[in-house]
Amino acid sequence: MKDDVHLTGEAFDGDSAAFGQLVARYQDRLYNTLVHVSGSADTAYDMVQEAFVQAYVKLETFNRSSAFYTWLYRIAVNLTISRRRREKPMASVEHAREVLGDEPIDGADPPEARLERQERACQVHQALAALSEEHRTILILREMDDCSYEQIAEILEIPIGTIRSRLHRARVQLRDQLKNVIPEHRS
Amino acid sequence: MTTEPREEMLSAYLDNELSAEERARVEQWLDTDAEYRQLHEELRAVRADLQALPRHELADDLGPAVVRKAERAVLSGQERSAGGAAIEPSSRASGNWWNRSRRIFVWPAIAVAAALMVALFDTQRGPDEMDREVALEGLPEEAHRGADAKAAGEASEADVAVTDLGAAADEMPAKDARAAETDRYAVPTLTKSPDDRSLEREHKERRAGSERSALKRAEPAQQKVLRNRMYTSKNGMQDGRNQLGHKALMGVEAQPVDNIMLDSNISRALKNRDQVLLIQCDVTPEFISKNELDKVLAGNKLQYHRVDVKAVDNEPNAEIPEQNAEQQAGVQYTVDATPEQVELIVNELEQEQGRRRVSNLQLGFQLRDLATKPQAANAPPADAPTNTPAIAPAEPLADDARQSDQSLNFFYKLPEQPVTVYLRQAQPAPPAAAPVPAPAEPQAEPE
Repeated sequence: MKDDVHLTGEAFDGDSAAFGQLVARYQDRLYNTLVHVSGSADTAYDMVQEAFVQAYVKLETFNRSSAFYTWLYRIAVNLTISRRRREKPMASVEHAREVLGDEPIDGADPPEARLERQERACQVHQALAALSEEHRTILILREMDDCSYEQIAEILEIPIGTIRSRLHRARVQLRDQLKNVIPEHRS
Repeated sequence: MTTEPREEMLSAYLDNELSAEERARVEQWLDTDAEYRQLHEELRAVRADLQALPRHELADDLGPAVVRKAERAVLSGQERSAGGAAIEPSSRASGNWWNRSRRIFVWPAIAVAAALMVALFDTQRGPDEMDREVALEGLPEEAHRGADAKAAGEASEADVAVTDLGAAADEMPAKDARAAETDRYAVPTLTKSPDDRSLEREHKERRAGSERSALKRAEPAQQKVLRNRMYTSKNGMQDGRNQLGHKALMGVEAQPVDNIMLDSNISRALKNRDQVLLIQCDVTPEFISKNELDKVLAGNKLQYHRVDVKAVDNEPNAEIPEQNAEQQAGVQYTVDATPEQVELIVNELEQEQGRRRVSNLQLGFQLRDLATKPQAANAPPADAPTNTPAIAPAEPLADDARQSDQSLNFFYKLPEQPVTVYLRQAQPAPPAAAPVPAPAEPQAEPE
């Protein structure tokens, strides 16, 4: 399997199939991130496509000193935040349920446990939606995408020192939000 | 709001982003400070909640659609900066040569895409079930008037040739007449025009070093891009589907090309503005029978000509293998459209892809006069309705062009000719809702 450096080089030379492989490699990961950043599966779907299109169009601006996916994430996150700012915030329970969907049924899993997990996810989604863009985005990049501070700094274009303080504030705010929606939240 | 560095370090401790010395300090605080331990537990709980959120995945591979959109964006010269932070300042400042050269190519390409041809293939209709339909039936009156006026205005010597051959067709055996009828509604094939020959001469001279074109000077990388896409299209052709129908529509079987051919085509397009954009896709029978695209075109006040292409199963011909292939039934629209209107139509078809009524959506370029010129060998059917619209020639044709050889043998000579710039992506397998039948067994339309 070719690595990202080879594929971006081939795409740069006009091989669109190579770019197609990059799309296949990152589309799900990016989509998952954007669902949580945007709070909308539809927006995330549009933004994933738009981000890849922008990446293809602007491939000549890709500075190969960074990884392709951090560059792609930077495009995608910027696009998503710009779009979300134009739209109304959606933090209702119904909306959260719609975004999160139904969990796949596992025969070994008691229905009550599954329902409880779904309810918890719904509440976390609501609490996330109540955070500011910058706090929500940094939390998702760290906790869901497992990005390092260095990668987050590249994606969001902020210093690593800022990552540390912003990430902590984001966690504290999410904790407080969860206490609001789940009074018995673990403490 | 300010945060205690001590607390921030706790977050970084959770993330394993501390130095050994910082880590030791945090662990000491955890041992001695109950409140600090409490915060640690809460932050861990927050992390657990986030990591327990369901993961979302896409059902489809976005690759083909993304690449198609991206190439359209490139063709339309899109330079949006919504993701502006993605542009490296250094690249912007230096004015990347590859970017510049690409734009140089792109603008002529889109400038000549002033006419549009949309071809829909109904792969489920058999040869005996395709009724000839009057193009604008049931559509707004102005669409009728526009198309009729355009057809009348563009009636040329080519129409006369068709009429004369129509009389000759009466004398043909029934089978030949049927083949001629089929040809009448088939998409014309490429021919070699005087322009082609003059361009060949021009390029030979240019290759001799007399004068290099501005395009050739500017964009070796772009030519490479195009060559790669040409190869891609060649692979895309080899998908077991109806070869003749696709080849005839595209006007060219994609083959490896060299710089002379690309130069020739680009130069020709710049000089004569003679390319059309070709949009080609497979559709369900209902999409055609319900005139879905007609509604889109008429709804946007676009004038168009619609021709129903009959399926055909040629008799085996060992000498001209191309004629052995079948031609799919379908519908072809010729539309005058601005790039924005082209975008609108493509978007509409892409939405239909999502509804599984359209598949294998492809874009390409085709030489306008070759794409639209009625063929001398094509005779109209004896019972053809007089108001059946035909694809009108874009420009009057020179005499020797009309008399040129119409044989499919042309395809054998292709590497010597200027070719259409043909951008095509390898297509994904068609969805179950619009299966592509094996070429030898056309399926009957479902009841």
